[in-house]
Amino acid sequence: MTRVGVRVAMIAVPLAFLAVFFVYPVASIVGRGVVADGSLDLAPVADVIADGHLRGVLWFTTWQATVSTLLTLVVGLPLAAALAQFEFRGREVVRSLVAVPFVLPTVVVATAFTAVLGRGGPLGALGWDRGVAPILAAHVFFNVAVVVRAVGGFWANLDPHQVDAARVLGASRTRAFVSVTLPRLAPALAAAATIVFLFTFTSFGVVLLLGGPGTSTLEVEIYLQTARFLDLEAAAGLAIVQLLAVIAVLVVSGRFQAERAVSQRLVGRASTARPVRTGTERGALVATLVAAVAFLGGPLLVLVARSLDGGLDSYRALVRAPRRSASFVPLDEAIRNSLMFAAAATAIALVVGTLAAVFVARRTSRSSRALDLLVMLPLGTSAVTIGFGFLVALDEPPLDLRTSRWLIPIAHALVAIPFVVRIVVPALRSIDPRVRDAAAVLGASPARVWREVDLPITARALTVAAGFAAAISLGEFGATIFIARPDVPTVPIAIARLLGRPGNFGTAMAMATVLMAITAAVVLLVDRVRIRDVGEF
Amino acid sequence: MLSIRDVSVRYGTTTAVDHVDLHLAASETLAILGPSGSGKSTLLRAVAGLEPLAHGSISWRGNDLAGTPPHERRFGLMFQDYALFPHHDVGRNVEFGLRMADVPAARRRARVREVLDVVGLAGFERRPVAQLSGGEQQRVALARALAPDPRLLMLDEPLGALDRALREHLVDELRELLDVADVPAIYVTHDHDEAFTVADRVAVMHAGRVVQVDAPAALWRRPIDPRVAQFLGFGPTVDAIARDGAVRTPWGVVPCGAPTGPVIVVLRPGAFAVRDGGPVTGVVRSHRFAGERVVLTVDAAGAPAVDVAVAPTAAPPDGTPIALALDPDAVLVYPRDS
Repeated sequence: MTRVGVRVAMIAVPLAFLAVFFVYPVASIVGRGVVADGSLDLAPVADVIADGHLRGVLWFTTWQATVSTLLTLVVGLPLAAALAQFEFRGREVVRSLVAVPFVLPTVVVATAFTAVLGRGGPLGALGWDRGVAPILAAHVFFNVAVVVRAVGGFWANLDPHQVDAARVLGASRTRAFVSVTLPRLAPALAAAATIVFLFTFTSFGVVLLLGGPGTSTLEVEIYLQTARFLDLEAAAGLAIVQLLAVIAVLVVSGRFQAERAVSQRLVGRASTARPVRTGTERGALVATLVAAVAFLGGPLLVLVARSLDGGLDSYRALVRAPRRSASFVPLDEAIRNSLMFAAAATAIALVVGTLAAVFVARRTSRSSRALDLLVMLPLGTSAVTIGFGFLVALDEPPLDLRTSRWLIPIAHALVAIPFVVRIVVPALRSIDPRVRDAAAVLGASPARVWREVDLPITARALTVAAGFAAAISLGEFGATIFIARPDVPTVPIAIARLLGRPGNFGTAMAMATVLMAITAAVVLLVDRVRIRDVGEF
Repeated sequence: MLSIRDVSVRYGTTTAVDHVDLHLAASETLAILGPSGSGKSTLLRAVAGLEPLAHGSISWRGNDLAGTPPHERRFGLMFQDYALFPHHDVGRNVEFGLRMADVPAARRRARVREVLDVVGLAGFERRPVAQLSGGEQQRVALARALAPDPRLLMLDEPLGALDRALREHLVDELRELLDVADVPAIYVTHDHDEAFTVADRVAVMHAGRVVQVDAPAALWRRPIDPRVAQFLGFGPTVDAIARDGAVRTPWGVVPCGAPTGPVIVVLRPGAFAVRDGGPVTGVVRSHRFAGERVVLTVDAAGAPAVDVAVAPTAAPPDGTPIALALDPDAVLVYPRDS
């Protein structure tokens, strides 16, 4: 094959994959929503506004996302400030701990918050077992990492001399923060707020598992309309509204950030962090860190502790349980399913994501930017939409994959690909193109150049990407719940089932603990994945 | 050996190399000299097969290389800033071309030791390249290019990133190395001293075109046009009129073979010497210390200032009146298109 031929074949793989498993399903949803009996019919979309119940869902989705975002900022900013400004022992440990929730499966977090807030939990007396409170708490738990990373990272690189200048010119500490630091943080704050808003706007597992009556988001409603009421048109209408909302948020946020982007003098992190100087500073720092560690570590500790309430009974029940019904699957079987799916999903995501990354990284043309956008779209589309799309599009000719075991790994890979691309592209871009030329002149064929230069230099990024993809697959819930066959559940699906039936909470906690341990093991296995290595997303 | 015939290379709408013809004999070293952006690096990349030709052909011993990809040309290219493999140590870098050629491990090791010895880096095999100084990296890059015994060696500004003292030291080494290696070489540089030291012939490039190819001495004696002369550091340059076999310059009348008409006069460095009672008089404006010589800038009456080198002990203070003689051989006269 000619060089051009090889290039075309390489780019064709990700394009075809995304076309078949992303564009086609999403287009099918849109088709369902706006076309009836061969003619344009916007009723399903209009119903979301007209129907009182669906309007309520849209309203709840929006306000809970807004409140979750504000709360996340309130909780995350002091921590971001502490990590950005002060040099103290254990700083790296706290930084890593903050990042942990980001890779934890939603099901594990939902179980952990139920363990804390539910009956018999340490905060059970608050009566926040189910409903808005645990949803907001879990959202903050998940997304603090985003604020600390996006805002804290930016903050640490701001030139501290500008604050000094304001202080010397007569501004109080508060005044200097409000009039100098805050405006300069605005772009980073907007970016973080956008991401948190989108994540919580499209939140599924947390809301489904921790919510109660009246706390249905668009995502949950899409699922309920599909699975309970079998009303695919209504679900499609909801999915379209959600897609439009996500696009609107991205556009508005992009405008705002473009307006606010000022070129700022940024300095290296090392020169901005300093040791604490006064007793007040020390007090504030200690209080912030203790609160953060308690909030982020507490639920996980309670989960593990309570799963051990009856000794190892809950764990024994997992393996020993006879396969009584179609809906209960022994743990070892669920684990086997999850690991197999994760292995397949990781392989698919790595191959497709890396091929896309090669194209995106090597060129700065319009077509490479278009591909970049295309591979990022699944991230903004939500897992539920992907699962729903698979259900709508891939269960009938021309593409009937309903019974295929590949459906789940493909869906997981689709969720993981944006992360793989974001991790691999910067590594590929870091390679001086003349190093590749040097290898070619010294006798390396194009394939050999890739093996001798690109692969070894990006090996670490590829490992990190593999770990990320595996962690995503192990915890994936929103898409899986649509397409998992009842007799072949993944661990998150099995946990959700246990949570849904009374009397199984101990077993659910045990299973969640095991899933947490597996996720942690995978992440550690691929060489202490540093979440901070993840590029922009 | 190498024939570059009517070659053009384009990036989009800009023409980086514009109908270039060059021929290289066996074991000859050709320098390509030109300012940055003149297309000399692009020409090198085209010879290596890294840039497609928009026009013309490049052939080796009469065989057109059009269908031969870079990795099958067996040409060595030493990159500007070296482009060493950051993930390999010195030994693995030098060994790379030998591995690509499937040379057995034992012979690879021996060859790596041999070339590292040649470039003065014996025992550096296991050093990470990131820890090397600029000069050491340059030697590794040279060793890497030499190791697989290339049929042609190309060096792209090999000393460009180094400080002056190191450059002057290494350029002599390079010359010896190229003599010993007995391999045809193309040496790209923007520094004419470097080109003169290293090369048998020098090709001067400007705006994508080769404007002159000559031996260093011939090039110095007679640059083909004022632009090449200025690039070689000649000057000052003035407009004048030639009449009856002589040209009237601001520094006096000089005989010349140019036909009557407007001309451009360029002075070669060293055109003036201090001589008591000399025909050109002026005043020392300033002086600049240049090692074993002192360069005086002299304001000659009614003429552009000129430089003249004297021994440090003979340097008069600024403001001293001084008399100079002009060497008629150092006056270059070019016809001027009016």
